Amino acid sequence: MSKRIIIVILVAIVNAGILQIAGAGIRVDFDRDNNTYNWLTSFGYTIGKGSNSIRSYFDGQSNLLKGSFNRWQENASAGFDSEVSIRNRLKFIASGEYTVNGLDRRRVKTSELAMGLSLKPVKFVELRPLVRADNKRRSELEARLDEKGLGYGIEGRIFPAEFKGINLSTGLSYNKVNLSNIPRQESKGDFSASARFTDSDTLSVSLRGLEATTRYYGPGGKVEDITRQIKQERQADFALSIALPAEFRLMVDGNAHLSRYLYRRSQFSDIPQSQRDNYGRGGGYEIKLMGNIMDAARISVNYTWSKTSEDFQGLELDQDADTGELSFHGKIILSTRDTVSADMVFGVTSYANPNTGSSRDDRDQKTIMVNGRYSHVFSKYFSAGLTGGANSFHQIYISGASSANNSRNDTYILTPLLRWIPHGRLFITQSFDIQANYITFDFDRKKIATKNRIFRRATSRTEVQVVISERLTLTQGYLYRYEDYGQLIWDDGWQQAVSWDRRRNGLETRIFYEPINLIRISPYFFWEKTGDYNHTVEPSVDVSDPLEIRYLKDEQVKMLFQFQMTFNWSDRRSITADFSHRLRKFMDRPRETNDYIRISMEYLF
Amino acid sequence: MNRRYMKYAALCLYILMAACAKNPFSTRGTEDPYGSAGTWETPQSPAVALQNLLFAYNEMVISNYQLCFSDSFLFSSPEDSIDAVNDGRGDLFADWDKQVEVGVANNIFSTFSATDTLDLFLTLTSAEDYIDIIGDTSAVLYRSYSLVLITAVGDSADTVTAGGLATFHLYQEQLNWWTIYLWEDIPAVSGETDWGDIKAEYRR
Repeated sequence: MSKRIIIVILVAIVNAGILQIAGAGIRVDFDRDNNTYNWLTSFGYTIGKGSNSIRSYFDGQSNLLKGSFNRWQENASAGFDSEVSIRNRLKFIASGEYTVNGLDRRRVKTSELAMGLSLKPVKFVELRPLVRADNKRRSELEARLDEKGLGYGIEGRIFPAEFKGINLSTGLSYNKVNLSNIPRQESKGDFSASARFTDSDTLSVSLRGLEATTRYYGPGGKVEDITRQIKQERQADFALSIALPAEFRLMVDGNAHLSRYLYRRSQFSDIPQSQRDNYGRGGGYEIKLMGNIMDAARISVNYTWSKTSEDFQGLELDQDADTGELSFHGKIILSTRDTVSADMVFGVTSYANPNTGSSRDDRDQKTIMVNGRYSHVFSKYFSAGLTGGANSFHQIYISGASSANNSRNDTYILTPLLRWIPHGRLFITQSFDIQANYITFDFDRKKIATKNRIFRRATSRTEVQVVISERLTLTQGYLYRYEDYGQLIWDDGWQQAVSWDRRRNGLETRIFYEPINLIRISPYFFWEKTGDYNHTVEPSVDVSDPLEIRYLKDEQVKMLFQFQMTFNWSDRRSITADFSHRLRKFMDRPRETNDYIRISMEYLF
Repeated sequence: MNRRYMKYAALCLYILMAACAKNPFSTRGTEDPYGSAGTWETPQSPAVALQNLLFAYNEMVISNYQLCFSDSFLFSSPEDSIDAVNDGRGDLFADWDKQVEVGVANNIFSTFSATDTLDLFLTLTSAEDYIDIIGDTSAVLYRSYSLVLITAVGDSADTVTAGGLATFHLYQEQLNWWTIYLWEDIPAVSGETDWGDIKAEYRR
């Protein structure tokens, strides 16, 4: 290990002697949230001259989770990569990385050092043969195990080159990490071609392939309990874009993929089902038609289809999935003061297990989303908008074993918004948010003990912003929210039986102050009081209708004090400190407090 | 090439796509139920979002389970990840996003719901040493968990218990519903089986 470190230092020194600083930066973060402490450090340093360069980096992350037992987690990596020109088309390349991953007494330390050549026999072709040395040292409690070995690899790449108007690029690589007991090797290939037929029509095609063999230890970590995984993946993609008359455009893209994961192990019966030989395939496409109509309307219509299949050779895990989705987006500028827009999505995804007798989880998921927005500008001082939407998620199990779960999850939302600027330094925003969520089971029309539910929420939010000066802004907000929840009973129409309701009142104050250009200060205070009320029903002997009783179940007050300060001594250098103290008081429980601190520094050279 | 060839290409694509399509409005028919329904509530608070996850796991309803997670979801299991790197399988916990999480859960649910001889039982309780941090739009909830799996080994049954601390990071997403965007998992006792170990066995 020490020899490798010396080599790394020598390469760095040799390179540093002939190179100039091209870029460097450091970033340090610390944050604490009650029991969790996080430290982040990253450093990057690049020097170069002409085609010679060396880049070095360090990333470190430490986390401490305090509790009955403190848990330390540490991840760090340090490395470099460099290129030194030997001749016109020949470079010496070297890279190295040392990583530590640790949690308490567990440690995995890996080091990789690779050296080779970069050869460009012709302008568009590059070959990179490499030799590599890998070392992995792992320690877990009392156990220690070292793995090391010499590996090799080669990478060939044809950079984008034009052939008869078609841009081509391709690459092939092979890499072997030759650790003693758990070697791995990987071969990859890719090819892409793109062509422009007119000024605006394009077609691109790409193909990718991967073959990888990995050996890994089983849970016991014994040499005789090693599994070999063979992974094969293929993927093809295409994308077509055609300009149509009247500023319309048709875009089509699609893909197809195949995968095969094979496992070879001595004790085959102990392998989980999901890690036995399995095959996957799938594909899909998207057609998009978009365009502008006389600069007054913009529309786009999409259709997406995809199909996937996972084959675990007849096991319960086999699954086919098929999706079709149609979506629409439109925006119309009715006048200089009026704009209306809408989005709609309709989609169905079907899941099926192709094996006989395994249809318990066969299901369809139907999604409908419709949203619309309208805005009107009355004057430059007053504007209003209205957003409304309906979203429906319907799950439909096919088998009677699961079809009791068939349910609709429907949400309706309406959001009016007003903006008023009574004075050049005074901005007032008022918004309302009204929501209702219905969860109804297709086969549940019971009047007692039904699972059908309704949740309703209405929120009013008022915000007043006063710009006292260019350096001082005050924002004051007030929030009121009402929520209720309960059963939804079918009695020739849906009827609500409220189980509880909740009312919130909240005030927030934020000040933004920039005393000088270097310093920004932002204190924030938030206060909120919440009352939870339960609803019960008691039979009444005097009147025919039962008596509904509403009582206070819980009340809590929440306060948040926050202070943020930023020293920005240039565009590339800053320190930010963020402190907050949160306090929650309850009616019949002890108060809870929570402190948060974050300090962050960024320094780019 | 000129535009005429492009039109032929577009026609070929149209024919191809007419043959490979799915109606985005139509669903399959369903049988009348003979089983019981799962439990799902509007995730209007972080606690309800975790309650939904608990019910979805125990009831093995994959469509409810996937609603618990944000599209940007990530799963992190530091101790298991280090073990995996140790064993030469560093990719086992890499890139564990929502798609992987739902696929793994689907594999677990399919396996354990296939026969009556296999079963799983999950419990989540507040972690003693840790206070939940619930903000206006984000929250961190600490839960001690116990996951008991009754599995078949040959002709006999075996029980595997995973225990540990799960830290769930949630935020309010579209429609203001709470979803999990980061799930951190550590075992109760270092070196013993945790949830991440169980889940990793069902990753493809």
